[in-house]
Amino acid sequence: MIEIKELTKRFGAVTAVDDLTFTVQPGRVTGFLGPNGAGKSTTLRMILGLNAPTRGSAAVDGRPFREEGAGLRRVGALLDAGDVHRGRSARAHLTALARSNGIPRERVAAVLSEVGLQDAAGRRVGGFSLGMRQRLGIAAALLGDPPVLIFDEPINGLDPEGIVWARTLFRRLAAEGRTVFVSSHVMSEVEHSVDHLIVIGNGKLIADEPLEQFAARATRLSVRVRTHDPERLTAALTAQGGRVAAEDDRTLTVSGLTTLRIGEIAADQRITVYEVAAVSSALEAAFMESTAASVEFRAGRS
Amino acid sequence: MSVQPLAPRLRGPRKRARPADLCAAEWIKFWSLRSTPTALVLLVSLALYLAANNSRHGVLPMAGSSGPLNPQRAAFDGFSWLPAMIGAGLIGAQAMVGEYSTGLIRTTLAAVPDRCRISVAKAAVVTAVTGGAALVIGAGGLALAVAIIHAPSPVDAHPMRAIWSSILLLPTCALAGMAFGTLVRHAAGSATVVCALFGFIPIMLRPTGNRWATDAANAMPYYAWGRLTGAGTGTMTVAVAWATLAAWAAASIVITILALDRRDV
Repeated sequence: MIEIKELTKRFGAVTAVDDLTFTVQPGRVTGFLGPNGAGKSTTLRMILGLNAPTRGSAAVDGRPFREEGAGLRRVGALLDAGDVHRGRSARAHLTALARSNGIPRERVAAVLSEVGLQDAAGRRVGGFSLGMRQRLGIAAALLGDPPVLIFDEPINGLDPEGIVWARTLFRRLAAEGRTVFVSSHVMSEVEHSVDHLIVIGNGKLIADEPLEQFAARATRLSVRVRTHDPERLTAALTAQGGRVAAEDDRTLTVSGLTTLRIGEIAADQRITVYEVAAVSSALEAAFMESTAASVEFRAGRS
Repeated sequence: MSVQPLAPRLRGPRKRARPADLCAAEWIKFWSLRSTPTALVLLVSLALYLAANNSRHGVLPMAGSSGPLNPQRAAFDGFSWLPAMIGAGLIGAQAMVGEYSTGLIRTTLAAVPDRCRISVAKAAVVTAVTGGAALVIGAGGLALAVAIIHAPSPVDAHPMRAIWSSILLLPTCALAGMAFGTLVRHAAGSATVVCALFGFIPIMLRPTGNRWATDAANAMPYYAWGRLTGAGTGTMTVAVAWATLAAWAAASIVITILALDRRDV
């Protein structure tokens, strides 16, 4: 379990993390979402004791992480796939890490094959693709068989097969009763693999709720409509409360109306439509709306 | 890809990693890079070559005390040790800068959150490696010099003291380099400081000028070590010379521990 209380971090005049309070529970995958620069990485670094909070506290299973004697056995973390020495082989990197926590050497081979890097173990990390480095980072996080796992943007650079693998892995780790905390700035990356969401924007907490509850926040789903008569359709949709923008001379982007309602309106008016498609999912829309609000709030304040 | 359960599971979480495990981890890190061991071999080879060369052709008169050339003067000639001092300083600096510049420091500290223990383990490995190099250079250089110079009196007084002081000198340089590396956190910046401190200052500053310059020079590891080998120009007592080297080493470790402990990474 990860407990964050009134956590605040200032870098000079910039407040990167602003009075965050939330708890990450074991036994489920918790997504940590926010736009770039929202303060996700800073928060994760404070959990791991890498950055000292200006105020507030972060505790892992009731203790500040800085007090741990063998960190890998308490928390497995992938912060940045680039946080390795490019001149070292994958095996040497993991062997040194394992040894620093008194973890037996056999465990290195086990996690390397777990992430599918057994054949690249002797190669230097400098020659790895981003996806391979992500897998190496995940291997390092698994080394200590920890009860808490933290992954910062783990999907970046993974191929489609790797993404499915990573999602399955996170699910399995949570099913084993571990605390799994996965950050992302793209909703579509986590929507299929998380149970619970913590959303931050501009360093502040926006949402801390189950996935379905967050999805229900979406009020403005946008829909793409292609038609042979955009002028009449625009007039009809606007009359019914839709907000319409022309994408090109045949395509409209509509918000404020569902795909169903748009279809009905077009049928009433006898306007032919070729396509009526939701552009973004409810989660994506909820995410965009909630984080856009935090940016507007900042602009209004300064 | 098939998904199998994580195997083998580790048995109950251990409270702390043992200091020996931390040192072993740093030892693996040191030798698993190509650059540092290569630099170490080059540094030792160059130093041995210089000792042999001094034995054949004599040392620069400005480098040490005057008098007939003997194996100890040839093997512990101050200027000939400058590359080894700078090299040891750079190896020490790189031990920290390599972590910062690659971002590995975050992985390291997430694995071992108690930063003081990481600093001490790194210092131990750097000390062992550069101390070993100093033993090879000091004892090997002296043996080479004795073999080349067939002098009636092979050495000045205290050849063992010369070797021991060298075994203290190079780790001191390496630890100081590590402290600068931790403070500067940048390869070029810390290299500049190391070169200035161990290369430029000993050449510019001599314990033969006014009182201030003499004191300042005597406070440098180079002159303290020169006093102990008998081949240099330091003018302090032997006890003060030992204390000076030890103080540099101790202060460097303290600075490394504090700088790593206090700052965000």
